[in-house]
Order: sequence, then structure tokens, then C-alpha cells
Amino acid sequence: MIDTTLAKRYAEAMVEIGQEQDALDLYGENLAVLTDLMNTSKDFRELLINPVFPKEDKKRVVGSILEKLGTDRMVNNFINLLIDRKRIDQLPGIDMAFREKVDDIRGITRGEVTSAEPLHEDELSRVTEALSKISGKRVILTANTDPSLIGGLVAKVGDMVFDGTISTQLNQLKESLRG
Amino acid sequence: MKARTVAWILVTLAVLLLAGTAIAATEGHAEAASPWTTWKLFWRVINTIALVALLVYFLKKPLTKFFSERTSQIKKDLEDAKLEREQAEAKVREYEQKIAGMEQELEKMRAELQKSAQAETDKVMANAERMAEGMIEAAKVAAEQEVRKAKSTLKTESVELAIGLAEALIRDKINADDHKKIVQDYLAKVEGMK
Repeated sequence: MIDTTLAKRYAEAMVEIGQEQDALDLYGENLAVLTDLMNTSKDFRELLINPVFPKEDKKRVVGSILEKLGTDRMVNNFINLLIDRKRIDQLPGIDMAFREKVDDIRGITRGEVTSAEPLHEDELSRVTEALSKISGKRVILTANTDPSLIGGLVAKVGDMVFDGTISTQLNQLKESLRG
Repeated sequence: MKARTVAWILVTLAVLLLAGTAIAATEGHAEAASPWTTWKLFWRVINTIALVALLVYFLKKPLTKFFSERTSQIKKDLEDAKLEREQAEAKVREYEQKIAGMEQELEKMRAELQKSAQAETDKVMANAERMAEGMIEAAKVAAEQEVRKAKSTLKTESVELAIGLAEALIRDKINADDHKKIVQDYLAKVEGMK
């Protein structure tokens, strides 16, 4: 279970170091790779989280993996710290909080756009540009496709939702007809 | 006890008197009309008178007292009997009054019972009417709810069917140009926002 407060605290510490070292992108990539590995590899996750394995064994195995992945030494130390403090299970939360913090520093907001049919590059860039103007921040969108939308697209940035899908219009029509 | 003693004395005197008279009569037969006989008779008479006088002298008081007491007792007994009779009659009158009163009381109780029974009947009837009205009202409400529910269900099903048909029709008819147009419209709206 992710403790967001705790994750934010660790992420802020990591961001501060990243700013000092001018390595925010590198740390962000390393953390993302490790989080992805933790989410996709059940064995890796089990090794990190299961208290049966001694800390030293965890550090040794994780160290060899990190070496192969070519992660930064500071990130390696950070991971060892999380293992020592038995907070390694918070890594996905820390990764998310780190990205949010970095985005916040850089004036970036992330969102997603889902359409019934894949969007063209120019359409996606127009959506991104329009949402950047509205939010006042640089918007980075992740594009998805969902045929159940029937037609149109929906964009979500932060708390804002811009829905122009046929399925939503049909649902609104259904609700209004029901009274 | 006194009465018994006086009776014994009287009986004894009577026996002695009768015995004297009998002896005199017997002797009278044997020595009739002689001077001695006359003298003897005289003394017997004197003797009898003396006896009677003595009897009167000695027995007058006790006899008078006895009969006086007896009279008083009889009077008292009569008065007591009269009093008892009066009391008995009073009791009879009292019981008669009570019986009459009881009849009135019974009548009153009967009337009250009838009144109470009527009130209870009225109450039960009123309750039954209220319950019946409540049941009718509840049935009306339930029926109205059922109608509303049925209407709602029908409406929902109709809407679902209509929307389902519309969705199927759109899916069937929509093409790449339509998609593009919808996206363009969307972009125009979003770009128009501030």
C-alpha cells in the first residue's frame, strides 16, 4: 500500500539532490525503469518486498541488476536506503511523486487523450497546444484509443476533462430522456 | 331452685290436708253425731284454719315473690319477644329494601354494561374503519407506485432501446470522414476556450 505522504517526502529529497546534481531527468528515467521492472517482474518485486530475504542479500542482488541497467550511483544509494528503511515497497509511489514534483518545477502538467480512432500528429499537437493555453502549463499528453467511444475524443489534464465523444453524448441524451 | 322448693312445700301441705280430711271422714262414719265427734270436728276445723293461716303466713311472701317474678319474667319475655319480632321485621324490611336496591343496582349495572359494550363496539368499528381506510390508502399508494415504477421501467427500456438503436446505427454509418469532422469540431471548441 502506497503511503503518498511518505512517498512525497522521499521524492522531494530525491528532487532536491537531482536539482543540485542537475540530474533530474536521469533520476527520473532510472526511477521509472526500476518501477517498471518492479511492476512487471514478480520475482524482482518479491525479492524487494518479502521480509524473509535479508537486507544484504536484497542489496547485493538489486545492486547487480542496477549495475546492468546502468543506473546512477545516487539512485543506487537511494534504493539501498529504501531497503535499509524497509520502504522499498513505496518505490512506485515515490516515482510518481518524483515525476509530479519535477513536472511542477518545470511547469509541466501531464494528461491523456483518448479517441475512438487514432489521432493524427497534427490533431494531437493541436489538442496539446489548446490544453496548454487553457491550463497555463506545458501539457504532455499520452494518447490512447478506445473504440467504445464510437467517435470523437476525450482529454483529461489534472482535474479538467474535455469530453467530445459520441458515447458521452449518447449517455447524456439517455439521461435527459429518462428525466 | 326457689320455685321447686315452693312446689314441694305446697305438695306436702296438700297431702297432709287431704290425709287429715280423709281420717276425719273415716272417723265420721264410725262415730256419727256424737258430741265428742262435733268437738273433734271443731278442732279439726280450727286446726285446718290454723294450718291454712300458717301456710298463708309462711308462703304468702315467697309465693307472691315467685309469681311476681314469674309475671315480670313473662312480661320481660314478651317484651323481648316483641322486640325480637320488631327487629326481625326491621331486618325483613331492610332485606326487602336491599333486594329492591339490588334490583335497581342490577338494572344500573346492566345499563352500564350495555353502554360499555356499545362504546366498545363503536370503538372497534371506528378502529376497523380507520384500518380499512388506511389499507385502502396504502393499496392506492402501492398501486400508484407500481404504475409509476412500470412507467419508469417502460420509459427506461424504451430509452435504452432507442439509444441502443442509435448507437448501432451510428457505429454502422460512421466513417473516417465523420471521425475527422468530429475531431475537428472538438478541436474548434477546445481552441475556442480561454
